[in-house]
Amino acid sequence: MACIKIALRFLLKSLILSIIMMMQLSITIILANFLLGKYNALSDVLRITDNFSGYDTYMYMPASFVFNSDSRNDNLEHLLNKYKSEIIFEQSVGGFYQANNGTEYEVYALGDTTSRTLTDSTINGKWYADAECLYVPCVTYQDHDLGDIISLVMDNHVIEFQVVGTVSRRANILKFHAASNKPVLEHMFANNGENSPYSLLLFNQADIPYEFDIIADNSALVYFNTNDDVIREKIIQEFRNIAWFVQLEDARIESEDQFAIHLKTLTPMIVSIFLVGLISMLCLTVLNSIRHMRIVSIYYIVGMSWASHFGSFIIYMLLQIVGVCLLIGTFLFFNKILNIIPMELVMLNESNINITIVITIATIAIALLAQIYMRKKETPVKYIKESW
Amino acid sequence: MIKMINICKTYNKNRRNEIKVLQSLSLTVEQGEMIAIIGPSGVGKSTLLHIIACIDSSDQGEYWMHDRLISGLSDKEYSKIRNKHVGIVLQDFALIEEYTVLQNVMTPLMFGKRIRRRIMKERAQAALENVGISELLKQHVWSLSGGQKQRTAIARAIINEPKLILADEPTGALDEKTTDDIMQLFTKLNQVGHTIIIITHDPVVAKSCDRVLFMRDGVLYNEI
Repeated sequence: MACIKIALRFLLKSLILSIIMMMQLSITIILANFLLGKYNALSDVLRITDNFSGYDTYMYMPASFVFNSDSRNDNLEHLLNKYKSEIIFEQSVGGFYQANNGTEYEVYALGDTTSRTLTDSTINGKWYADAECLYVPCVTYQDHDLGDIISLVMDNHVIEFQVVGTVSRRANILKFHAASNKPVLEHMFANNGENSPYSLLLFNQADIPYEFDIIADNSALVYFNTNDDVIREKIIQEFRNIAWFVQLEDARIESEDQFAIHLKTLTPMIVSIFLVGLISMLCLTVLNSIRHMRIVSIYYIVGMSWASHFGSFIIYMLLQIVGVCLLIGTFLFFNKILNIIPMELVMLNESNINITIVITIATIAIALLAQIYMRKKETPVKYIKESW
Repeated sequence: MIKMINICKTYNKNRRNEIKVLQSLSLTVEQGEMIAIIGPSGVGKSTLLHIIACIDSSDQGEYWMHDRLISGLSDKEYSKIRNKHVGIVLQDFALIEEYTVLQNVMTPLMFGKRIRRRIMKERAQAALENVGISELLKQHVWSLSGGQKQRTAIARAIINEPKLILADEPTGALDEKTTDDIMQLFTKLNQVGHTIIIITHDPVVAKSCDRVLFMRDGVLYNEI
């Protein structure tokens, strides 16, 4: 009980310093999470190419600034008809629709093969499991429960979807970087974070028995059905004449190069934030320790034990951690409204939580070691001898 | 009440700047005595007081208090003795300036047996009445005079009703008039049964005590 009282007194005595310490740790954690979120977002896209292993996949991108779009579309149609049996051409289509309850949905209809490659690593829950036959099976964000029914009016047709799966916050689907002149991969739904006004809805194109007028994604996946290398090379060459046509592996290599460039910037930022966090925590702890020394010595004279002294310090640190949690919570609340930094990057996913724990433990360990060192160097007995 | 046999204390042991502060010091103090320890600066008076107060421990020798061997006890036991059996008064008062007189006086009660706040207040008020400043209980320490601060420190020292009160230069920061008042207070406390040991440079203070011990080179030499 005495330990708690002392810890509270320490907190109140150096409230400003304590708040600075809490803010410093909160900022370190938030920034580290933000940067780590960026790192995760970049590396996720590389990981999802693993889903396509076993598929002889190419990526196609109709780059409008290189090729004339009319002739390209004609040529594409011609090629698709010509090689109907050798290739599967799948282009995701998307659009925005409103449900009866007013929720806006960003709808993506995926090709059948693409859907099958995306299971497991991208999706939490079930993916295109059997819905009741009255409904179209769909996958949404985690704010829906499995089995929920969503009604959308699409091109004058009322389509009733049933949620059969939920996707993780960063639902990764391969596509080309729209503004890049290199075949760099990115994830399609990176912006469908918590702040997006649209809820995401994915379904298999084949589950709707008619074509609907929504926007086609600018990149497409092409799956080869043939093992004939000569025909394969011929098809590749013909596609390359009308747009970018890149093997997934090449796009992955380009992406890895891009990732390495990003990493060169990110790594020193993460390391320096971590170091600055540690050093400032160290300095603040020492400063705080010096400030408390007089009171600690007075308590020591009137009967505080060494163990109680450390106990009170541990509680003081725990109070600070509670303060840090409150500060981070407050930040996340206001960030949701003000969108200071993208939530999908700050999101405390599994690896971010690990790094958060590492940062917190390392910082507290440093503070604790600094305290132990300070207390050994400047004991109450020594302080009493020198000061009184 | 107190028996110290061959107490030794050395600082910076086995280093170039090793200082032998106390050398085979022996001391016996009976219950109800009021003793002054005088001597030049740096002879180990304060170190002796710290050992008696269980703030510090000796390297060698035996220290007995109320027929109990104190030397070698744990930190927890030492803290209990500081809290229950010893009251300490220092030249610099050792008060928490931003707290009120009442809060300062109640501080030792935080570390003893848990008692209700109302009882804590009553005991603090009684201690403050004993030292004659009960009207100041709500005042902050920073607003008090030196004499009032020292009375507050004495009230804090007696709140747990310890048998032994130790004072290290309690009048060192006070003027002549206040010194007299504080010494009268110590005499009054001694008369009601507290054993008092005062470290001082002031011969006037020493004169008010029953027994005066002279310390030099870590040894208590003379009884004046």
